Amino acid sequence: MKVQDTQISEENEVQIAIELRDLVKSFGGVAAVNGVSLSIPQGTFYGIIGPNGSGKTTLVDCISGIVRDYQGSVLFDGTDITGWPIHKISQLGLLRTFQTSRLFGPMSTLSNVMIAAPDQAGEKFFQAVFGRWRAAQEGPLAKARELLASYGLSGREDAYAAELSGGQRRLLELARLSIMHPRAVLLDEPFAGVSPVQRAQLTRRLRGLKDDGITVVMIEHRLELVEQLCDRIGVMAEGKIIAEGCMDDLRTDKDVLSAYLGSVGHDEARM
Amino acid sequence: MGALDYFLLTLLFFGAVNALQVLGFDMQFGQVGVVNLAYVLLVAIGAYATAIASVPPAGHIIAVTYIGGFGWGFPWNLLFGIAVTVVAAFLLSTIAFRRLRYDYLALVLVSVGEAILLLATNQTNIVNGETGIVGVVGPWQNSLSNSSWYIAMSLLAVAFLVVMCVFYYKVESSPLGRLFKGVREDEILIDSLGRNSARLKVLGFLLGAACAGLAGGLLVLFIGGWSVGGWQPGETFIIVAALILGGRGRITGALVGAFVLMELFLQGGSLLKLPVSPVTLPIYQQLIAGIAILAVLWWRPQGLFPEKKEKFPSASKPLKTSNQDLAEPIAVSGESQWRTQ
Repeated sequence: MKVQDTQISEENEVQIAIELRDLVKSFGGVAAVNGVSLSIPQGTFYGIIGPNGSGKTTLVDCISGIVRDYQGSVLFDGTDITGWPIHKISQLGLLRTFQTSRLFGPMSTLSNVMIAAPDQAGEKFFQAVFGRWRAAQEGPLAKARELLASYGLSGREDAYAAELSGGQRRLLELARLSIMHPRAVLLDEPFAGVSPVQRAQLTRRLRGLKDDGITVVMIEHRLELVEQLCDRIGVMAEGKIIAEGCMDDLRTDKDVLSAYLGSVGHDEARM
Repeated sequence: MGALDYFLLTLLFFGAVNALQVLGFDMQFGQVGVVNLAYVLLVAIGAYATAIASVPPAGHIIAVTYIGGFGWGFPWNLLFGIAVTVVAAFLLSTIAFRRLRYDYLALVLVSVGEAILLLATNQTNIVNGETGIVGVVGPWQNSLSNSSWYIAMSLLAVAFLVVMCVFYYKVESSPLGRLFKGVREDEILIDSLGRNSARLKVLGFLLGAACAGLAGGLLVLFIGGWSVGGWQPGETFIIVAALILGGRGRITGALVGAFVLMELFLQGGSLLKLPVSPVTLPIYQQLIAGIAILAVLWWRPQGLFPEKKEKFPSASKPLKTSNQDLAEPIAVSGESQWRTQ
């Protein structure tokens, strides 16, 4: 009987992708992130919402290694990545996008994806000068073209990235992440500046990430999109996670109402 | 050989060396985006180190003091000059590159360049102060006739330029070159793609420094000496102007910029016998460089030969595109009652 119980508990054991333990980050005495502890299971689409200035981006900056001088600890797939630089964290497969889309503007769309392809021959100095790296480019190049096609950007592969529309820029960012085979992605307002038509396309692509088993953490202000995409949602206010759950639970949470609507909302909630 | 032949050979030599200098600066500024306003310091280190490797120890001559003095011949003196420049650039990069944004980094590099210039001028026992190091004998100088030596040195400089151009092209067109340009555009983004931008930036800086050291070494082997007058801050300004004129991030841009500004306007200007004294000539040269920068930035900010887009082999067969993505109706639901934007 005991053996059976153990087997059941092992099967039910959830693998944690991202774990935050009492994370604190202050800027000049003001705590942008103030004691956040969070566990995000593998393969979860996790949404972070909250009013402006609640510490969402700082939290993602701490996880991704942009900000390194914080208190507390960050674990990714069981590895303690506290204080690691961003490139080392990215090499582990924890990737991110930024609040305003970041592309290499003077490079072509295809180059923007090719630059991210991992383990390319010709990236090291002696390989670049003396090696025969051109033949080895065929694999990553075909993959990059395939990704651009699947993201609806194949007709724009020779265009400068700076010439792309807001939505195309976001799609290109996702295509660039995809070529790196991520295990988890942190998306900071991926729908900002995206037109309604491309919003639908982007929504499908984000669902595709989850379908591929990738853990997704998304900061987003458009709550209808959060509701559509996220399995679980954390609400941040004043640097803390004040509530967690699905959107239906959060709609009636008085702390959440208070954070979004102020004291009026709080009063209404009590009424 | 007549005076004009000597003049043209000198022009050829300086043309090649100037192009090497601009090419090295382009590797630092055009490729990895380091605005090295102390670039001429690296040229000077290459020149001094080559000179020190070439001349005998200072004790042989009264009132001349400098570090070292190895009496080595070509090519060891030149290789030593390049190696010392690369090591110095590495030390400079470890001090200056830490956590500095490109504009502050430029200011720090200017300050370091000025400080070392003052040190070299006033601390006479390092590189013999303002007088500098003289008596460097160029390769084959004692065995060839004067005219043959001029030809040999010019060809040597051109050969080095060709080699460095091939080297630059190989780096620039490779995945490493793509990463270099990525570092230039956005270091954090490169880091977020799993590459160490700091290491890449230092590598590009060192490659440019090697080019600067080579140019400095060739200069001292041709001129026969080097002093603080050869690396005043204005020299960097002219190199910057040449690259902005030609266009950064591309060999053609560096070569054309070096030729048009440094050869045609500055060196070639001496053919015209302008009524300008040698003392005021550098001032006019810098004035021309300044006007060139303003004119290019106004009318053609990308330079005469702008950077090219990376070319990839065309796809062998058309890839299947997801047209249905574009055709599908919008699936986003209505506005939320909590919309915050």
